[in-house]
Amino acid sequence: MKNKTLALLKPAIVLTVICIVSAALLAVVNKFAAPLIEKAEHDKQMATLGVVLPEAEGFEELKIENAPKTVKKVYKETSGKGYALLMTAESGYHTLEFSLGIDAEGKIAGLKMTSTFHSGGDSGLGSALPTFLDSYKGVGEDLEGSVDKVTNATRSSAAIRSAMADAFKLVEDLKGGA
Amino acid sequence: MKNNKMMIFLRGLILENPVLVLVLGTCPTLAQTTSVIGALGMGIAATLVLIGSNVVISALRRLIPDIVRIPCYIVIIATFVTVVQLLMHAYLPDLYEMMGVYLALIVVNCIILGRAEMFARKNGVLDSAVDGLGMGLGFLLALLCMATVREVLGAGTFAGLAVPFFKTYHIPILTKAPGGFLVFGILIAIMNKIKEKDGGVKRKSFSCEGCPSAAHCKKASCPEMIDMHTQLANDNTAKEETENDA
Repeated sequence: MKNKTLALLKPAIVLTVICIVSAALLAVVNKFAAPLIEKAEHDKQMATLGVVLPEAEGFEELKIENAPKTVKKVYKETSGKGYALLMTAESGYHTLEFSLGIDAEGKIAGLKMTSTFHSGGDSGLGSALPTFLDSYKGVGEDLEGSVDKVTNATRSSAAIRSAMADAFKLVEDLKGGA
Repeated sequence: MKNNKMMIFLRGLILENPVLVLVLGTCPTLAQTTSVIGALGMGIAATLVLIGSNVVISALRRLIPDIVRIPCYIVIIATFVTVVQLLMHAYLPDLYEMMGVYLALIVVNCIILGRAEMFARKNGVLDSAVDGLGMGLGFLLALLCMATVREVLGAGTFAGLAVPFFKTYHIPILTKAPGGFLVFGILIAIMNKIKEKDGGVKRKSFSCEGCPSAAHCKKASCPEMIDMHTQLANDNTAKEETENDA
């Protein structure tokens, strides 16, 4: 009877012990890796901001209450050359992440996709991505002259466009408040 | 003894190459061979996980009950994958980005679970480590061969550096999915041709013996199955005789 109970319990005990040891090991590795990961993510964000606002000398993060859902973070260029925004847009299939630079004249200085799905050329916006992004450079609040929608990625391109409208509105509000 | 270890190592590297002979791990092979750097990252990550999981599973083989062995293996493999993932994210963020979802998918890579089930649970720690190293390097070698062909001929670059002539005259489809299958097929054909001289391709470690349906399979052409059925029949007869005697 005792042996039977032990035989029944042994698999559960072994699996539980393996899970606990694994969790402990991961906690230790995470303790060392987490600060480095955070730094890597921060460096990556800063590098992206430099790409979308190439003439920037430095950035200062602005804390904004009631920002639109599409705006994750807003950075002001320290010498007043514009704003850089970390944006997110829902296409219905994927969450798209991108960085947007708006210069002091209220025109788009740069746009860069940062989410993995759309950063390469494999799917979604695919090979049309560079053309799509380039069409927005120098475009103002009305987005006139830019590519409206991309075939096979109509929802993604529409979501990006809609998020840009939010970004322009927010930047206008910031300028007005400044 | 030394020869035995060398044989285990070479088996994974060439004789039973996981990608080109056993045709395992096809998903990362096709997805991560558009660039040499991506292939190198995937190969090294999988090798580290293979060695680690093989060693731990082999060390715990007498403690893990058969009934929960697969969940235990998955937990162990997932732990190693997460460790590799965290370290890569921390120290090689660009490579981590490039690998995307395929890094996490190493957990369900057939090669790793296959080696745990077929080798590590039946052999000692050192042999399992050598097997993990051989299979991992075999996987890496196959990925690098395929990535070199696809990147040079498909994109005109090698590890991101432009290759003269091919930069102008390249075949873009090779970097897409159909090109991946094409190159994969050609490499397997070349491997089969090379192995033909040694009496054809042998897939001993991953043949009927490891099949979950092995006990019910009646495939007469497989000598291992005939042995298994004979053994099962003998066992059943012995069991019946013992019961009758009792």
